[in-house]
Amino acid sequence: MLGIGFEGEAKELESRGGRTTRLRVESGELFASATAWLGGTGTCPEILGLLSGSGAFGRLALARARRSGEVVLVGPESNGATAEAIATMREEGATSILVDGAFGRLTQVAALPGARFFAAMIVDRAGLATAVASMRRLATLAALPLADSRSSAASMKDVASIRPFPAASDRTDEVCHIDGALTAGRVASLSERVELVTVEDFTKIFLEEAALRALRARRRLCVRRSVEFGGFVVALRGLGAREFLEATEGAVDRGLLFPSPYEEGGGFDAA
Amino acid sequence: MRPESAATDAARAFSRVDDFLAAWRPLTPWGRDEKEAGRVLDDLAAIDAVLDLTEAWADFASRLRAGSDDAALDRVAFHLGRLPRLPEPIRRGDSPLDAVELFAVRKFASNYKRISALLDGEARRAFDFPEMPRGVEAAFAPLEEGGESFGVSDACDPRLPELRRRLGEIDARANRVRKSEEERVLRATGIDFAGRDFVVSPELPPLEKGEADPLFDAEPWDGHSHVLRRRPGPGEMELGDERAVLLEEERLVEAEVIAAMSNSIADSADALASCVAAIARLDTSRSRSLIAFGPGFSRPRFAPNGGERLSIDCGRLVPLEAECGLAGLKYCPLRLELPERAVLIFGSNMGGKTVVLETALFLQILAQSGFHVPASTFEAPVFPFIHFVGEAASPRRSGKSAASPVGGGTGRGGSAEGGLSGFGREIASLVEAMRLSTEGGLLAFDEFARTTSSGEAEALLSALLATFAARPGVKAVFATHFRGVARAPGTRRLRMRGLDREAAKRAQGREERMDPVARLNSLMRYELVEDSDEGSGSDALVVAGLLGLDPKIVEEASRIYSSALRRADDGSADVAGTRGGDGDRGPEDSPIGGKNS
Repeated sequence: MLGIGFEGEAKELESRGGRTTRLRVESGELFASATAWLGGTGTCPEILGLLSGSGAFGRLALARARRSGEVVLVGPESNGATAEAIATMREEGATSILVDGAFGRLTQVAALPGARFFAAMIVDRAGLATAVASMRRLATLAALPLADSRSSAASMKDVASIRPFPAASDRTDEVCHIDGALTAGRVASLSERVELVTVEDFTKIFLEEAALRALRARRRLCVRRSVEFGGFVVALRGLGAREFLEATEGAVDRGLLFPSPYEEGGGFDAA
Repeated sequence: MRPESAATDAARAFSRVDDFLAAWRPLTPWGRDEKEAGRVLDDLAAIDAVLDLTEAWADFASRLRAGSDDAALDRVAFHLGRLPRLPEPIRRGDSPLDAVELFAVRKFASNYKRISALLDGEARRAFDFPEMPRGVEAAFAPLEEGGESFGVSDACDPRLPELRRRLGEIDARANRVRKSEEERVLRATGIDFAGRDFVVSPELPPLEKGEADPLFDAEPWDGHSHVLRRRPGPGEMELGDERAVLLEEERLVEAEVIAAMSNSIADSADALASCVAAIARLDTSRSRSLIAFGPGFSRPRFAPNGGERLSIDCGRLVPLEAECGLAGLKYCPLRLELPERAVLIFGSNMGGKTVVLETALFLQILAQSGFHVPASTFEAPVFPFIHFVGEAASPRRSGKSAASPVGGGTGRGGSAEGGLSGFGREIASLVEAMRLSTEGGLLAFDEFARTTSSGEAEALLSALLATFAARPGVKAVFATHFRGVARAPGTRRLRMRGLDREAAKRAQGREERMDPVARLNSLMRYELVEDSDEGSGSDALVVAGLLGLDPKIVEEASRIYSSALRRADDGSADVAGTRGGDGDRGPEDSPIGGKNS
């Protein structure tokens, strides 16, 4: 288990009176933490490696729990260091690696081959419309087809993959490969003749839903690297499952919706 | 200038030595420190020792290859790359190393021993590889043989197995009790916690409504649901307390173990430092040999005390050679013999005289950095000071700033910086260079004083040449356009052979599709020859024509130039830059291989 950075960092820690969010690990599981947090875990940790970077809690280390206990996940913040941590975990035999991070860290995960992501969210009645719009946008972006670099045709791939792709300067009249962010300004500057727009991955798209719809109505939008989307894990607050499902109908595939695992009462299936 | 470096930053930047050294990739922290330090040595014995070690590595690699054991070389590299930096200092007593620091020491020790086992006796002797100190071996003896990870294992202290057995028992009992309690809650309320710390339930379970012994703590989640946390059942709290006590006991024992290990390692700190030094020697020698050894490279030979001869045969400025290769241009290695202390190099535009300076500095800095040099022969003194005075390093050169205690480059066109014009900075740099080269030095001047009048520049150059010629241990090389520099005893005058005029004439009439730069490159003769007082005539106008300037303009300029020369010979005019000059004034960037000339 690996975190990207420390959630909320020192400020949040302070606001919680120094209490940290601890996560249960079982004997044999690997986790990343800061050296200052290793001692009091009760997991009898075996230190396997030092990770790049350090913070207010000391250097970062990768450890194997030799006994079950509770740990604080602290991980590196940079893409390179995250990839390095994952590589080290794989060397140590990890076959599944859970990476916990805020949504803004998705870019880092998207850079890792074989990654799959889930979005966890709390939805209440007041924020229902906004949440549904966000979910529809994310589901749309995550389902963007993967560009085929050989033919400029686009095809869906059902696993995350990375493909080499020509640089931004390599464009034809009909195809525009965008490096960096796809913004409304970039869209406005596209030639009328452009039929296919590609971006590195969907996290580089910074368009409002309407602008995204308008772009896709006129041109094909593809990603050069896709990351598999597992779905939304939703905790409902002041909102019934039936009402939520009705609100999301037509916006988000039902198969992408999962109830909070802490919720009693049958979840969405019972609704 | 970097600490412990004989070469100024200006010299490094001009020579492009850091472009070449970008490929130098030591694998250990200490090797990378060595690279970062950028030391240019001025101690012959120290340089020789570094060169000896590079050759020792190359010999070792040859022995392995001869024995078809190339894989051992890869294994050495693998283990070098896994060596972590050690804690500094290695502490003992009240502030011992912590577990993470011990991990670093163990990982170092493990990889060190594997590397040592891969070396043969001759290599171990050459790199002075000591055995891993006993204190370190003893510290980690209870841990699994050959491992790199670190954790306080049961074997580290006789109290630990029992403590951990009891902890394991408690954990097992706690699991059983928890499951039993969860089943009780399930039976009583229908709520299945299934190992979860809490659940969100749409309604409060009946027991919670007025029961004397509630099973839950509840807090509202929203208008319908509550967050329910199961209260610990009988025995769970006690087990938790018991576990906490045992964990604290375990922590204290582990702290004792860690302190003992730390002290044992601290007792061997000096010996461990010797291991680190051996690794640094091995790593830097290996990585040096990968970029500067073998065909095309030779061991620099340094003159004994007092020797002043600089001799280069087939010397290559590797970054430029690579650029020429990519551009499809010919590259001519340098041949240079300089017994004299002060040398003038003339040459036409784009003739390669700046490259001569670059190459000489490049080879000298590499050699004094302990590298074998890309030359068939390189003989030189060891200079205590290596400096360049001239145009600031351009961005295409190394990213290093040209700034230095001796003023660095001079910039273009006389724009003022720090209150000094281009000429002012040049003079400031010169003054500092003269002050720092009283014990000797290699000084390269590119188009010195080019921003002042030719008469003044020539007078200044004449005086400088005479001064440097009388200064022992100095090698001052000036690349210049100015032909009116006075001859002085102990100085030497060379020139670039320049444009092959016969070939150029033949080429001028032809409609060639060749790129102008490639065409000019094919017509230039980048060789140094002795200079006669007659000069070589101007190539600049021919060069301009070859580079595509309108032939009518070139023709008119040639007519004006010839006329001015005749008047100068008659004494009827003193046209600046026409007194047997090599062409127009002021250096321009040469398109040949991206070099300045």
